[in-house]
Amino acid sequence: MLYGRFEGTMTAATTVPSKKASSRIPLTLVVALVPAAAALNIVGGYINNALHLPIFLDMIGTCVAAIVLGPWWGALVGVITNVGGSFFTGPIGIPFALANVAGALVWGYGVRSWGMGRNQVTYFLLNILVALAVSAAAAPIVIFVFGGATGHSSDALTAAFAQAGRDLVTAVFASNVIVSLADKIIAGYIGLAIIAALPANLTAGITLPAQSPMKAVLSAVVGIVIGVGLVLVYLLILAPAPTA
Amino acid sequence: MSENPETEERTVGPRAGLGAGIIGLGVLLIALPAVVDSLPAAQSELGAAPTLAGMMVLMGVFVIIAGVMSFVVKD
Repeated sequence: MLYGRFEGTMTAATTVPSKKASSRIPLTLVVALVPAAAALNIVGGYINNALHLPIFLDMIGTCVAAIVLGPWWGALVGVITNVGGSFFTGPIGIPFALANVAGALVWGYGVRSWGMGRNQVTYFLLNILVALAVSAAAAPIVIFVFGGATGHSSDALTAAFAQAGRDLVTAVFASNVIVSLADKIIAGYIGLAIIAALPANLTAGITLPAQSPMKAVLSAVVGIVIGVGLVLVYLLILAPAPTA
Repeated sequence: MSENPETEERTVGPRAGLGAGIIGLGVLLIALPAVVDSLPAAQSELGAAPTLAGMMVLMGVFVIIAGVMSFVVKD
C-alpha cells in the first residue's frame, strides 16, 4: 500500500485511502522532531535578527511539527522555542510563545482536521489564517507588554501607521498583520518543502498538496517569493523614508 | 534458536500530544513570573502586576481551548 503524499500520478490531493491523518505516531519521531523543530525555530530567528529582516523566521519548525506530529506537539515546540531561545536572546521573547502556540494550533488543525492541505489554494489560505491568528495573539502582547515597540524591524511600519494618524492599537495590529503574512507564508512553504523531504511513512495519511518533488520545490519557491514580495512592498513603499 | 518477534514500536496518540501542549503551557506559566521584571511594561510605576494579569488572561484562553479539546480528542 502506498503512503506517499507526493505521487505525481495522483490528482489534487493524495491521501492514504482508509485512514484519516495518522492518529498514532512513533514515539521516536516525536523525540527526534520536537527538539529539532525547536532548534530550527531558534536558528531561523537568530539568522533573521542577524540580517535585520523585517520578518521573524521563527516558526518554520512549528509548522513542520504541527503538521507532522499534531497541533499540540507543535504548541510544545513553540513554547520550547521561546523559552529556550530566551537563554540566547533574553526574556523578551517568552511572552510571544503564545503567538507560536496559536500558529501551531491553526497549522495543525488546519491540515490534519479541516483538510486545508488538500490543494495549493487552501494551503495558501491556511497560511493566511495562521498569520491572522498569530497577529491576534501577538499584537496585544506588543501593545500591553512592550508599549507598541519591541525593537524589531517591524516597529518602523508601526511608526509609519502611527504617523499616518492611526491610533497605537490599529498601527500595531496593521503592521503585525502585514509582517506576519509575509513571515507565515514563507514559513508555511519552507515547512512544506521540509515535510516533502521526510520519509513518506512518517507522514502517512497527512493530506498535503500533492506534487512531484520538482513541483514541491517550485511551490515552496513561489510561496517564498510571495512572502518576500510582501516584505519588499513594505520596505519600498510603506516604510518611512529615512530622515536627513 | 527461537526469536521473540514481539518488537512493537511505541507510539503516541493525540491525547499524548494534547498533554504535551498542556505541559508546555504550564512551563510558560511558571517561566513568565520569573522574567516579567525584565519586560518593559513592568518598569512602569504600576510594576509587573498588569503585565502578569494580561498574560494570565491570554494563557487562560489557551488552557480553555486545551480543556475543550480534551473532550474531543480520542486516541
